[in-house]
Amino acid sequence: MNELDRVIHEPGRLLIVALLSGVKEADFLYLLRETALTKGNLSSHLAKLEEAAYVEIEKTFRRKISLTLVRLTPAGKTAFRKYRKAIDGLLRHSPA
Amino acid sequence: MGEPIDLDEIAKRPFRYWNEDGLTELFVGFMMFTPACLFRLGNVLPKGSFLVILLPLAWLAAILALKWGLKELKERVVSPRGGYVALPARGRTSIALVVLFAILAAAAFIAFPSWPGQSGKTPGLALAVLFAALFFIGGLQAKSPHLLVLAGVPLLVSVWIYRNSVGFSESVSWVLLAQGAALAFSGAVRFRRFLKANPRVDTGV
Repeated sequence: MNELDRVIHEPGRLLIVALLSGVKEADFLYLLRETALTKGNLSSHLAKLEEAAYVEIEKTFRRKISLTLVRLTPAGKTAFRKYRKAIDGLLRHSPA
Repeated sequence: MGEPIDLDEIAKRPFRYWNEDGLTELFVGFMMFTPACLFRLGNVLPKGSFLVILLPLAWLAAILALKWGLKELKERVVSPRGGYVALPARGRTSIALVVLFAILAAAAFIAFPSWPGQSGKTPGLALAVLFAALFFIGGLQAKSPHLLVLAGVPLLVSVWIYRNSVGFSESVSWVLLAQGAALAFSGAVRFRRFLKANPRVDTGV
């Protein structure tokens, strides 16, 4: 278990990172909808991921409406890839 | 740790969300429907009419208008309700393959009338089978039953083509017309459902 990245391993953050791994970028509303987290929880998880430099958060405006864009950084992509590898290895070696 | 998280399934969700509102179907439906309509219009125009030259331009204009409409609807209607997602750009290889396929299809379409022993029905039947196969495979992969239903439309048209005496271009245009109309209808229904299920929200973020 020591090999696992604790920042990503938390289920809420893992869900966010997995969702972001399939897109160029997504906004706060989409993440809110897909993760079913509360606004506060999602903000807190995003802050932790940003602190770890795994995501990049950009606050912008589109058609006069505020938009919070989130995207995975190269470091985030690498961390997610490593996490998947580690978890696959663990599952393979765990007793049935 | 609770229930295991299927990371592959989660990574596919944005793509499913992109298609959930039905706008892509509506767009592709009109992309098929429009040239078929223009082609039928070309058939009723007097031979040698200069208006025939304008038909490809009308198609080009329709494609640009549809692309603009799709972008506007996504930004103005879909994003404020379900959120904004930008899918990764297509790779060069996939773009090259699409272009190659389009060139080969166009070449076959142009060269077909001079092929020996060809039947006028064959291109329409081939296109219908191709569409049916694509929608069937797409439906199974995306686990979307409505795509399986849409796979049945070209098959029905192919039965009609097979039983009736239709020419080369007419058979193709009927397939495009029927599949385009079915897709546009299905897209419109799904768009309406999406709007009902996703009222506009303000995240306040």
